[in-house]
Amino acid sequence: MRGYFDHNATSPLRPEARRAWRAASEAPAGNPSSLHAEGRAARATIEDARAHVASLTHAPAKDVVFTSGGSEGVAAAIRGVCDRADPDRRKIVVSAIEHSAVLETARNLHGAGFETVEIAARADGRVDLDRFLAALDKRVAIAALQAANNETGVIQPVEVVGTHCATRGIAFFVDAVQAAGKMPVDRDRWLADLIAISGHKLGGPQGTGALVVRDGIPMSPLIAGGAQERRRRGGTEAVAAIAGFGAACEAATKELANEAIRLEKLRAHLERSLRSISRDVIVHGESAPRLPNTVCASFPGISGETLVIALDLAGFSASTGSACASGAVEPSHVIRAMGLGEAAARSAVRFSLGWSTTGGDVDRLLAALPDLLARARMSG
Amino acid sequence: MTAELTAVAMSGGVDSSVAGALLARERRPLVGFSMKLVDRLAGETERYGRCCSPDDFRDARAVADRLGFPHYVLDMEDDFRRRVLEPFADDYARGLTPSPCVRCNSFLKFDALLARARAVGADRVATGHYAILERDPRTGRTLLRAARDADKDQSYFLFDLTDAQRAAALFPLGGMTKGEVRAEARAAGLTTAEKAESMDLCFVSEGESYRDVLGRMGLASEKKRGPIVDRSGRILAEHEGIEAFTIGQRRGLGLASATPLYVVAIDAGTDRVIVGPETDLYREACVVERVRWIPFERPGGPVAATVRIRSGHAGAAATVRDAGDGTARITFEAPQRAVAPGQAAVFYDGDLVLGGGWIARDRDALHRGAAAL
Repeated sequence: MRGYFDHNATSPLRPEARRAWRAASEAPAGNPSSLHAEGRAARATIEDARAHVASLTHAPAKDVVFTSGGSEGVAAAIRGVCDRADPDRRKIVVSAIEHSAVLETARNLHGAGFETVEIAARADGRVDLDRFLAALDKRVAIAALQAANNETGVIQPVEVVGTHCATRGIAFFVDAVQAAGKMPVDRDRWLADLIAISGHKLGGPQGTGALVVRDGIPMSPLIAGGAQERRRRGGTEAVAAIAGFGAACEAATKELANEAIRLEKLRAHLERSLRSISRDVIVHGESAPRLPNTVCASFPGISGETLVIALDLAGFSASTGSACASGAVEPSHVIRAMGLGEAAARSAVRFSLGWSTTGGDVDRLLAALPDLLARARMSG
Repeated sequence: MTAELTAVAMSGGVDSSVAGALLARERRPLVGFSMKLVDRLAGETERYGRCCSPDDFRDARAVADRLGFPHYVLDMEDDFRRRVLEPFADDYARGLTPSPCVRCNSFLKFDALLARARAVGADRVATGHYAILERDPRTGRTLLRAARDADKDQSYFLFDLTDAQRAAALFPLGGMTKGEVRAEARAAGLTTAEKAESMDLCFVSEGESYRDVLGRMGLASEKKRGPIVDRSGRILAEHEGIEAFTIGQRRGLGLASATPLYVVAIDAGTDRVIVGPETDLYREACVVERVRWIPFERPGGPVAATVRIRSGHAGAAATVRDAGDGTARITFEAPQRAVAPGQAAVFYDGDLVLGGGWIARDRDALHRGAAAL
C-alpha cells in the first residue's frame, strides 16, 4: 500500500468526478455547439459544470472559460491581455515564485516588446510586497501573482495587489491553481480580472481547467476559430472531462471548510513529528499564512532528490522542485527566490496532503522516515 | 524494502539495458539510474552530447519499465564538471593527454553515483561494462579481469577503482560477446537492441570537438601562443596553444618537411611543442604516477606484465618496478611509440589486471628540447 503525498502535483480523481465523467462519456455523443437533442444535452452538461466552477470561484457562470488546464489558462490570460494592451503598456510584473508556466509565458513575450519584472520573495515565502507595488506603474500591462505557492503553500497578498492594480488600470491575473479547493477563491475580494484554475489539482480529471475572465477585459483568444466559450476559446469542449471537473469543483466547494480544518490538523501532526525525528528540519514558509495541506521541508545535509527517491522506493510519493526536460530534478527556483540559497533549494522536499489523505497515511510516513533519513544522511 | 537492492547505471544504450535485463532475470530487486552529466536545456541552442539526451533517458526509462523496476534521472552535472571535465581541461592546458573515461568510472559511476545509490538503500552499482570481477578467496580482494570479448574489453578504463569500489560493482556482461548482448536485448524485446555503439567521448556531440564542449562550458583555457621547435631547438612555426596537441600527432602541425614530423613532447612550462621524426616517438621506458595495484597492495619485487599505454593499445611486454613512493618505472622489452603523459598505463598478466598508473611527463624529452635552446 502506497502513501500518496503529492496532491499539489496531481490529486487523485474524486469519486464524484469519476461518476460524472463516466456518465457523460456514456451519454449519446453530441457536440455542445450542435442544435440537435444530443448537442443540447452535451451543452447542458457543460453548463451544469460551469455553474459549479463559478460557485467555487465566486464569479458569474458567464465569466468561466474552460481550458485544457492551468498552463493554458496562464498562457491565455497573459498572452491574451498583452496582445490587446495599450502600446504604452509594455511591462509585465510577476513574482519570482510564480509557477514556471507564468514565468516562461511572460519571458516569451520579450520578442513582442514586453519587459518582465520579477519580484523576489522574502525568506518567509511571501512576495516582497513593497517592491511589487512599487513596480506597478503606468507602463504595466498585466500583473500576475499566485494566490498560493505550489511548493511552500504560502498564501500571497493578492487582495493588496488587486486594489493597487484596480486603481492604476492594470489587468490583474491570479494563478489560483494551487489555491482552488484548498482555500476560498474570491474574485471580488481579490479584485482579480483573471483567475486560472486546474481540474486535476482538486480531484478533477487531468486536462481540464478554467480561466475566469471579468467582463470588459480586452483580450484576444489563445485558440481562435470558433464561437465556443463566448469566442474566448475555440475548439469543441471536452464534455465528459468537463463534467468530471464540474463535479470535483462542486465537491471541493462543499467540503472546503471542513477539509481545511482536517488537513491542517494532519499537517500540524506531520510537522511536529518531523521536528522530533530531525531537530534541524526547516519548514519553509512556516511563519506565513499557508495552505492547510502543504509542508515544504529541508533536512540539512540531505539532497531532496535522494530523499524523494528513497521515499518512492519505500512506497511514499513526495516531490521536490520541478522536473526538467530530461526528468532530472532541478533545484527549486521558489526556495532560491526566497533568498535561502542553493543548499536549501537542493534539499527541499514537499509533502502535500489532500482529500484522500488519512491519519494512517501520515503515521506510516512518519514511521518510515527515520530510517530513510538516517541512511540518506550517512551516504550523503 | 530489501537490503539487497542493486542500482543499475543506465545510459540508454544496449549494454546497460542488457545488464539490467540479466539482473532482473535473477529476480534481484533493482533500481535504475541515469546520470545527467552535461548541458541544461538552453532553448534553441540546446545541444547534447551523445549521452544524456532526453531520448537516451526515455530509452533507459522504457527498458526499466519493461523489466519492471523504477528508474530515475539524477542531476550529476556538478559532479561531472568538477571531477571529470575540469581535470580534463586542466590536463590539456598542462600539455597532457587526459583519460576522462577512467576518471568517470572512479569518480562518477563508482563514487558519486554509488553514494547516491547507498543513500536510497542500494549497496551495489551494476553497469554495462565489459570486464570481469572475481573475488579472490585467498586475499578477500576483488580481482579485475579483461572481458571475454577482447574487442569490447573495457578493463583498461576500470583499473583505478579501489578494492571497495570493485567489491560494490557488478559487470553482468563480462562473460558475453557483443553479439550475445544484442541477441539478449532482442530476445528481451528491449527498445535499445539495435542502438548504435557510442564511441569516443560521450559528452561530445556529432559535429563538434571536445574543445567546443569546453568552450561552451566556460572551461577552455586561455590560448597561449608558443613555438613549434625541432629537437635542436630550431623554431619551425608558431602555434595557437598547446591544448591542441597530442603526443604522436602528425596532422595539423602546418609544417613543410622532407620527412614527416610528429609531436614528440609538449612543454607546458614554456608553451613549446617539440616535433621530430617518427623514430623520436619511441620510448624504452616511462614513469607512472598514482600507481594502483589490484590483486595485492604492493608487489614484492619487479613485476613482469603486458602494459597497455592507451585504450586502443594491444599491450607490450614490460617490467614494472614499484618505487614505493606512489610511482613505478615501466621498462618495455621493445620501445613503444607515442607514450603520452596523462594517459593511463594498465598492467596485465594475461587477462588479470594487475594495476596501473598515470604516465608522467617525460623529463628526458623535455630536457633534450630545453638543452637545445
